[in-house]
Amino acid sequence: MIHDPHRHHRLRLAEATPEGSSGDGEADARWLELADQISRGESVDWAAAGLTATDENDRAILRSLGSIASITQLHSSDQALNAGAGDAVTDADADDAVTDANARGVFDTNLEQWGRLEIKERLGYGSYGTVYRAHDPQLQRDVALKLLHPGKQLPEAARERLRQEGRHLARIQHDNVVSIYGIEEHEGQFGLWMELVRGRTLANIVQNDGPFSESEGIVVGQSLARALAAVHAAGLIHRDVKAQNVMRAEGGRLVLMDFGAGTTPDHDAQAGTQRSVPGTPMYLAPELLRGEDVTPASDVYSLGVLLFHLVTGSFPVTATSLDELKAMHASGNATSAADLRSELSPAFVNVLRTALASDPSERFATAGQLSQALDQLQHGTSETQLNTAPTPNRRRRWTLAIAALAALAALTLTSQLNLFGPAQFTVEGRLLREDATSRTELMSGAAVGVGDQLSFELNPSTEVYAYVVNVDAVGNAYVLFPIAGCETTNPLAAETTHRLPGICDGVDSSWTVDSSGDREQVLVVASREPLVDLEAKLASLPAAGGNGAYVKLDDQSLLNLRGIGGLSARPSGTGAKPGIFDEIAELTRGPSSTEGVWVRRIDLNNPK
Amino acid sequence: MNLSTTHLTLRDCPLNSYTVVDLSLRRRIRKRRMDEPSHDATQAERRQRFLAEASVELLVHAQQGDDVALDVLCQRYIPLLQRWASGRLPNRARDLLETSDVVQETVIRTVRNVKNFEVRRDGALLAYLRQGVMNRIRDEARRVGRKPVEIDLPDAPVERDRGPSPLDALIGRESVAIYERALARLKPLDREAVIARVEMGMSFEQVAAAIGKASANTARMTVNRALVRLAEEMAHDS
Repeated sequence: MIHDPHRHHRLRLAEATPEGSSGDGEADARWLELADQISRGESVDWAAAGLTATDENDRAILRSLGSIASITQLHSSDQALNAGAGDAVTDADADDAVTDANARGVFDTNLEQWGRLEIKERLGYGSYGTVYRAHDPQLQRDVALKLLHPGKQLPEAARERLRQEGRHLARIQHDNVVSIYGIEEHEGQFGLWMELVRGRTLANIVQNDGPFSESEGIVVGQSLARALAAVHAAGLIHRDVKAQNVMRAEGGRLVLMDFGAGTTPDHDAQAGTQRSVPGTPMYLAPELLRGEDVTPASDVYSLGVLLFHLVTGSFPVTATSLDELKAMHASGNATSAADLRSELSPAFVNVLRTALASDPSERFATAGQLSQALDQLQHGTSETQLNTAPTPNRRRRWTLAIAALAALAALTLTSQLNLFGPAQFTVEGRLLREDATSRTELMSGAAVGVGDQLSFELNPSTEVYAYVVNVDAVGNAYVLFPIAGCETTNPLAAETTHRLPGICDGVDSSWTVDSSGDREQVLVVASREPLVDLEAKLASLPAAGGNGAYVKLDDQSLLNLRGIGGLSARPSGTGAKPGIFDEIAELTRGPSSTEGVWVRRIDLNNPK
Repeated sequence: MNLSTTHLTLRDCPLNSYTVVDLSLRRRIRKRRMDEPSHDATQAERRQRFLAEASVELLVHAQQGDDVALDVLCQRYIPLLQRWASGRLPNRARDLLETSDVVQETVIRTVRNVKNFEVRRDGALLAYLRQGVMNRIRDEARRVGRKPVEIDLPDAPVERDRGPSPLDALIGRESVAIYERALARLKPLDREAVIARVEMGMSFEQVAAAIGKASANTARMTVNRALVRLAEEMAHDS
C-alpha cells in the first residue's frame, strides 16, 4: 500500500474534531485504556480498575465496560475474534458447542481462561456460581475456581465486601477449612480460587451410604467445630454450614468449604434491612428466621443440624415452607435424634440438643465449646459405640431410660445444673476402682471387668443428698446409692470425703461388677434438697440383697425417669407430655429448691 | 412480505463454498451444486474480482441480478452472522430453529430490500444485517414463547418462558437491553465499529475496511473511543 501522509493527516484531523467536541477529556484516558484492553481481547484487571472509580458514575461506566467485555468474550469464545470473515468453524465444532450448551441447560461460555488460570473442567454449578477445576501455570498446581455467575451484576459495595472476605478467608489457616488462594475479578467476572479438594460431600455420603455411626459423627463434629472456631476467630461467620459444604477428602480429611454466603459480622450489620436470609432453610438457626442478626451461635446451630443429619439422615425441624419452618421453631417442635435413632448415646443426643437449642443463649456459645463437649464425649462413647450389640426388641424402651438419665448427664458439661440458677455448692467427686493395694480413678472410657470393686468418693461443700444409678448396655438400671440397710445414707455432711456406697452392716463396702456387658454408665446426682420423687421411687424398691448388690429399678421407676428424656421439649402448654422443666422441678422440689443439682456421668466399658 | 421495492427474485444464496454450521443446509447446497451447470470462466473471474470488492459494491451487482456477487456476499456474511446469532438466540429457539436459515433469509431479504443510500459503508451493511437477524430472532423468540414445543432435553431445566440467550445468561437480560439501547443511540460510525469488532470479532484490518479507516491502528482507536461512549451511554441508562 502506498503511504499517503496527507490522507493520514486528514483522517487524524477528521477524527480529532468529534472527539474534542464530544467533551471527552483527560478523564477518559483510563476508560480508553480499559476499552483498548477489551477491544484487543486482553484480560482486564477489574480490581485495579475499580480502585480508580471515584463516584457512582465511574462505577456505572466500569460496570458497563464489564458488560461490554463479557459480550466481547462471548462473541470471541468460538475463536471468531481475528478470524477472517470467510473463515468459519467446522460443522463438528459448531455441533459440539451447541450440543454442549444444550446439555447443560444453561449456557456458559466456553471459558478457557480466567486471569492466569486455565480452566479445565466444570465441577459444579450452584446458585451463586460455577466451580471449575483450573490450572495455575505459575505455581503448577490444580485449583478449584469458583466464578460468580456473570449475570450477577454486583454493586460495588458487594464487590468490595467479597474482596474483603477473600482477604479474611486467606488468613484462615486450618486443616479443616479449605485454603483460599485468591479472589479477583477478570473480564467482569468475580472469581475465588482455592485448593482443589477431591472427595465427596458429607451430603453425598449420607445419601448414598446411609447415616454415620455416632463415633464417626463425633469425629466429624470435632473437626468441624474446630474449623468453625477458626473461621470465627478470623472475624467471619460462615452462614452456610451444611452437609453439602463439607467434603471428606480422599484421605479422610474433612474440609469446610463454600464461603459463598459468608459474611463478616459488622458488614452484615451494615447491610441492614437489605440482607436476605442466606443458607439452606433446614440449617437456619431459628433466630435468623425471626430476623435477628447472624452470630457465631447461628453457625453452631447449623453445625448441630449437620451432625443431626449425619447420624439420622433427617433434620431436627422439617417443613415445606419458610412459614411452616418458622411455626415449627416457634412451637418448639424439634425432633430428638434419640427418637430417630435409639442407639445413639444419651450424651451425644444431648450435645446435639444443646447445639440445637432454639434460644441462642442456651446453645453452646462458641464452636469451641461444642468442640470441647464432643471431645468429652469421645472418651466415653467412641469405643463403646463400636461394641454395642443391637438388641432390637428391648432397645427402644430401655434407651428411653438411658435418655432420661442422660438428660441429667448432659449437665456434666458444666458440672452444674443451671436451669434453676447456679448451684450454690460444689462437689468434688471421683469414681474409683480399688483393690488391696491401689485405688485408681476411672474416667469415662475406662474399662472394668467382672470382680472389679468400685466406689465413688464425694466431697460436697455443703450437706447434700446423693443418688447413684448404674445403667448397663442393655438398659437395665440399678440403684447404687442410697442402699436401704446401709449405714451411710443421705444427707451427706459438708466438707467431708464420703466413700459410697459406704458402711453396710458395719462393713466398709464397695460395688462389685458381677457381670459383663458392653457398657456401663454410672450417674451421680447431688442436691442440697432431697429429690423427693426420685427418692420415693428408690425407697419403694426392695431392700438390697447384700453388700454391693445391685438393685434393679422397676419399670415404673424407669417410666418416671423417662419424662426427663424430653429435655429439648420446652413446655408448650398444649402437649400431654410434661416438659423437662416440669420434670426437673418435680424431682428437685423441696423446701427451697432453687439451688440446682450437681450431676456427673461416667461411661465405662465392660467387655465380655 | 412487501416485494414492491425489488425486481429481484432471489430465493436463496445461489452457490457454493461458504461453510455453514447447519448440515441440512449444506446438504441442500451440495444438491443444488450438483444440479447446476459448472461455472464458466467468466464467473470464476468475476468471483475472483468480487472477493476483493467492498460489500456495498457487491450489493449493487447483486441487486442487478448477479448471482456471483450475491454468493460472495453470502460467503462473507452468513458464517459471521451465524456465529453471532448463536450467542443471541435463546436456547429453546436455537434448538428449534435452523440458525442458518434465519441468517440466510435475512441476508437475502436485506440484499433484496436495502436501499443503497442506507448502506454506504460495509460496516453499515453489517450493522443492517445484524439488525435484520436480531429482528428475526425476536420474532422467532416470540413465536417459540407462544407455542409449546416438545424438546428432547430430559435433564435440562425447561424454561417456562423463551429462556435466556447465551448473552442474557452472561450479563443478564436487563444489561443486554441496556446495551442494545445504548448501541442504538451511538453515532452510526461508532455503532458499526463496535459491532464489527466486539460482536463480529473482525480483525482491526477488517474493521478498518468496513468503516473506512486508513489503518488497523486507526480503526482500533475508533473502536476504543466508541466503546467508551457506549459505556457512558449504558451508564446513563442503568
